[in-house]
Amino acid sequence: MLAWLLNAFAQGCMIALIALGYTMVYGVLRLINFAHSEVLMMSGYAAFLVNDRLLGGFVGSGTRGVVISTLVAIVAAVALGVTIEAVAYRPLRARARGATARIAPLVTAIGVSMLLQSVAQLAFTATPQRFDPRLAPPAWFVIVAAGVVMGALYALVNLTWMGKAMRAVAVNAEAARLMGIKPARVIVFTFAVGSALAAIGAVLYATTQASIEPTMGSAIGTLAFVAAVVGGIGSVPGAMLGGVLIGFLGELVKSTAFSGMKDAIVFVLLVIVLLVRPAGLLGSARAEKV
Amino acid sequence: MISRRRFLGGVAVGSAFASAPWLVGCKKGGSGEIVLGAILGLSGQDSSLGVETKEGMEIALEELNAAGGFKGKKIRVLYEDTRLDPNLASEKIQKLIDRDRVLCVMGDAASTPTLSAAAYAEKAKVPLISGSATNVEVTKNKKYVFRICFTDDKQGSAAAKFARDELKANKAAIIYVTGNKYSEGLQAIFTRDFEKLGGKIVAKETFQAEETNVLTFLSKIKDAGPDIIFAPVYPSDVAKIGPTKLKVGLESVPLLGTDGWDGPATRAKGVIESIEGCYFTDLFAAEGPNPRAKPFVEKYQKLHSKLPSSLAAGGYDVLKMVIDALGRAKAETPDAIRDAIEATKGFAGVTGTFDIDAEHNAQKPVTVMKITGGDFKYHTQISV
Repeated sequence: MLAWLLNAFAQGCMIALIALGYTMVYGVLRLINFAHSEVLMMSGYAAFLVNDRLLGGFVGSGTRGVVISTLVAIVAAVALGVTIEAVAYRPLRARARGATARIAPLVTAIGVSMLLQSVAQLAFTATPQRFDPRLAPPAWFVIVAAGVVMGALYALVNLTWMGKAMRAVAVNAEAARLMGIKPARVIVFTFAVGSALAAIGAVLYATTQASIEPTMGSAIGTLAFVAAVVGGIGSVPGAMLGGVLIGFLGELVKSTAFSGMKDAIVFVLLVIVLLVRPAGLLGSARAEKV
Repeated sequence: MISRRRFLGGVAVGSAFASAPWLVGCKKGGSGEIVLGAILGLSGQDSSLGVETKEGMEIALEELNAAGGFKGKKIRVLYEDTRLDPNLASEKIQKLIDRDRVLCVMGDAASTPTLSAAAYAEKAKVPLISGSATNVEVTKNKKYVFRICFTDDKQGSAAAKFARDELKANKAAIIYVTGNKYSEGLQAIFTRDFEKLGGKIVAKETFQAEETNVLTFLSKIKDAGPDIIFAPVYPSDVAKIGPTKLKVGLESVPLLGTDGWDGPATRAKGVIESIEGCYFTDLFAAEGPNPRAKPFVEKYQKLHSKLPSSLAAGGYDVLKMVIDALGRAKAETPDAIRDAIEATKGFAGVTGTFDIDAEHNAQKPVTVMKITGGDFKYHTQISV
């Protein structure tokens, strides 16, 4: 029973880490960053390639190898996330007006996602790669690691000047600018933090269970995106709660006789949650200022 | 930036090039070449099934063409990737039959895509022959669909017999994949036969193909206390089940798998160690008793520096048998080849000497492999 609880909680924590990236970007930009799942996938590849190809004969590919490759994955994810923002979103933000201001970046996000998936398929082939399963950390480690990271994020958002700036931009970017905050800088920072979290989530996910493949982003990313929406998109604690909820529901269904219909059952339950609370569990029901 | 006109020009030229092989295939197919088709899952999760089948076919093709092809005509195989996806499989077989006008289609490596392609083969009246699709439904009541392997009916019975007679198991647990014809079919047959032989199924767990975490299932199996765990799954699933089995403390309970296990994901670092001492039923063993397999095994080993799997051997035999049938056929038409394949008796292949029976299957003894010292080793053969 304890093992089951730990496993379910670890599962949820990994989804939550990735969900945070969606919710934070939505918070400051009102943009669903569909390319987030591809940042996750690419950072998984970065970790795998460093661990498998470079570290094998260099410092050994054991636990130390995983730590080093995780750091590399974080750097790669941050670089990619920030680049996507600079190349694909920022120019549109500066130029698009009116109704297109919302839609254009969304379409671009989907485009970037497809582009990265195809690039990954060309570069790494569609054949899945696997970490040595003996490198898999135990469930408690996943929970502790995710807990520490999420705690740090909570402190960052609530206790630092940058966090305050993020919250200010989320409430009203124009007013924040008048108060001397540079929204552009805050947005870049948000992308960087979200991508770093995705990298940590990707490494935990890939080492504990999944194989790494060009389409892994859409599989895990969908779960994480739904977690962010159910938790209340734009809300940081909401994403954490949503992730853990999805993880638990999934494991719960798996321990019944209906395990073959897991996805169907989990998503029906989530639709019910949204019918009762359309803004998500912790989302604010206030009308948005546009 | 390139101008729009130049861009469109590029597209036109590009598509002309892309369609060129089609023209060649169509024209030459009628005269100087024998053109065959193959639908195989060559990419994705369990691409090894298709890739290894193709490797076997390539060796057969090279041998056939080196010996002068078919009556002086060069033999050509057009490969189409199905990703083992049933929708893609039916799309790709249409392409091969309608566009390339192939005489016969080989593949797929797994049952689900083969079943979906079979419907079109029947409609178009072109023979489809698989080396490794073992699900019972694949050839059932079909005029144009064949296979050169045994069915899961036989494989499941052999597995149950082996578990009862040789492993002396009284209690068995089963873990299988939902919505996969192969996995579901085998678990049903194993259940039927294991219980018929006086054993008891103590737990049955099923998961979705995309599932990444099987811990919950194996913990429940552990609570049921089985003597063996029957796992009719594919290599990517073995890579999840094996290491998790150790994690939940089921070291002493062996897994009993099926021919779907045979693939590189099963042999991967950390996976193969976790299934040491486990067994699986298979279609072919490179070190098995068939002396005819030897030259093929050596050739394959030289090319790929590993022993050929049952899929590679199946691919080799399928192509050799199709050409054999073509030699006996009255004409070079799909219908004549179909009749010749149906009449196959005593074909001597690397996977054994076999006939095509009335149900369009080939009956061969079931091979049991054991994972020993980090490798697949021939254990025994069972006739059912």
